[in-house]
Amino acid sequence: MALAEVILIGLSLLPNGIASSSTDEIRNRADEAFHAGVELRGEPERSRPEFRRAAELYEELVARVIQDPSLFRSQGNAYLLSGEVPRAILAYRRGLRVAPWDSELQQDLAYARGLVHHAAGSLARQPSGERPPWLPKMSWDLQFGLLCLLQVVTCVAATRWLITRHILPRDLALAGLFVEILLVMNFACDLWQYRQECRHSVLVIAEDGLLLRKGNGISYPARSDSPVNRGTEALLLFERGDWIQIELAGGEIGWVPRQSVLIDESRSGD
Amino acid sequence: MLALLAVWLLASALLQASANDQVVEPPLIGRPRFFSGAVGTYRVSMRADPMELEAEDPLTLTVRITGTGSLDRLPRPNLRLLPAFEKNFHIEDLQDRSIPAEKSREFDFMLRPRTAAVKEISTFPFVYFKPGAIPDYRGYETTYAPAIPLTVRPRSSVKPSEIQGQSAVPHLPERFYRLAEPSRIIRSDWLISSNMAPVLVVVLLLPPGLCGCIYWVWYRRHPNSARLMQARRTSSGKQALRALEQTKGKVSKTVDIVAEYLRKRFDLAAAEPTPIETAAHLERLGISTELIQRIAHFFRNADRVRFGPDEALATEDWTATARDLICALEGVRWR
Repeated sequence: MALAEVILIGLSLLPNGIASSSTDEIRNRADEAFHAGVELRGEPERSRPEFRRAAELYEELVARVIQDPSLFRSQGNAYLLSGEVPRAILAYRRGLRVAPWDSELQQDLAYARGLVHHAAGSLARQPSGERPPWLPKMSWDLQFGLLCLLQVVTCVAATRWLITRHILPRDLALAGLFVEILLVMNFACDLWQYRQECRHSVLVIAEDGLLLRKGNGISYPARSDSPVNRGTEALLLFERGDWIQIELAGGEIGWVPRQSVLIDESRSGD
Repeated sequence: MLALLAVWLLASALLQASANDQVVEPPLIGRPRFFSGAVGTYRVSMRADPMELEAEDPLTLTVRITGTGSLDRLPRPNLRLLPAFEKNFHIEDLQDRSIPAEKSREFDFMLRPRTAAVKEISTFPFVYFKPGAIPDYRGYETTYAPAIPLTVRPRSSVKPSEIQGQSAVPHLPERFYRLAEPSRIIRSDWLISSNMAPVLVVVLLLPPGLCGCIYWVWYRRHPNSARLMQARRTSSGKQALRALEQTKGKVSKTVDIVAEYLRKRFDLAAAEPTPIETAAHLERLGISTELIQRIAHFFRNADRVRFGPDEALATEDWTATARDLICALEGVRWR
């Protein structure tokens, strides 16, 4: 009986065991392919397939719902090294959805964006930052902790001022209140961006010279003469058949063929 | 008899010849909506190339009209008027050509199927007028070009290796050639979950709530200090209290400061008010009797010190008395 119980317990653990070992195996293979590509970096014709293979293996890990920002970063690097800028940008964006405050992902994304060729006057050009640069990037936990601390300091200083009418507590309370307002604005920006990403999937254009059209078909005229090129980021608004409606970073909305874009299908919903 | 027959035949031939020379105008009565304008006898056919394609790829449709009537003046058929064409295809007109030897005219169109659901180029109706019918409006006839089956595939998705203009790998910084270190900075969504909202509100309101309680306790325990703080809040009270610190106990200065305060705060008109005038004015404002008596008492005593030899009163702490009066007046709620 005891032996049967042991066997049953072992069998119940077996699928998880197999899954984790296969995940590690895939990760190892991906890392090996990446290293192989690095060793062949002087020969692009040989290194690119290795980097592409590494990227595809990382994609397999992502499909197993492994939300590790380093995984997305490695995948993005692999795609970038294989010359596939659109897929690299998408990988970085997916990583930043999981870890918005990862500074390395932000740097890598900024670098990849610099490789995208935008037509002159194009509204597709990504703004230098979706948030004001003077707003610091902090995790939500850290922001909340700071907010609580400032709340205490501000209230104590305000009470002290009410009692003693000294200038120093009044100034301290005002300064604390000002920083609290900044923190709340910062949090509101983060939350708004998070809601946007939850509501609309991020996508990246995969072709050069794509025209944004006014309707779901080539019979509709183009919105402007400036095409959008591969690597341009947008949000998915609506789908109709083989065409999708997208919104570019500059706010321009139009329709493009579905097969011309790479869509992040794995976004989390609300 | 024979002569009459010959004349009749000649006249019929002449009439027929003249009829052939005239341009027949089709009647308006009974004219179909999609009448092409052609007069004569016609047949129509179509051909398309290619017949297997992807959605939105172009194909060339050639409509061939063969007939006895005048082909040169034949207008180009308008496929956009036909719902089956307009709905399924994007239509562009191309060139046309005449083939006199075959008594035909061909019109080329470029069609692009809008979706992969398009299965055929539907039948094309050609409406013409054939003269000679009695009544003449029955001369309108329609001939059809049969439908052409199509195989329209959905557009294939782009494979990574087919992405246009795969860029040459730029000289990337060294950090891209290293695997990323595992990161622990992952967003946690507990803060924005709906369960946490009441907790967050309580946590953020706790410090001001506690401080409010502390202030209330202090206010109850130190009423004079509280009133002093309140008095300092109004500008006239603030000025008066500040000025009192400079009097160094002098009665006349103290009285002047209090009088000035009463003028600014309660609109007391008199420059040097008497106790009776002051009491009357404050009573009209609804200030309590006890406070009015204290003020009147203050002014009477001050007059005794200033104008009479009352040395006992001279030693009193006038500054503190004036301060208490001002604080009491600042705490007053008046009508």
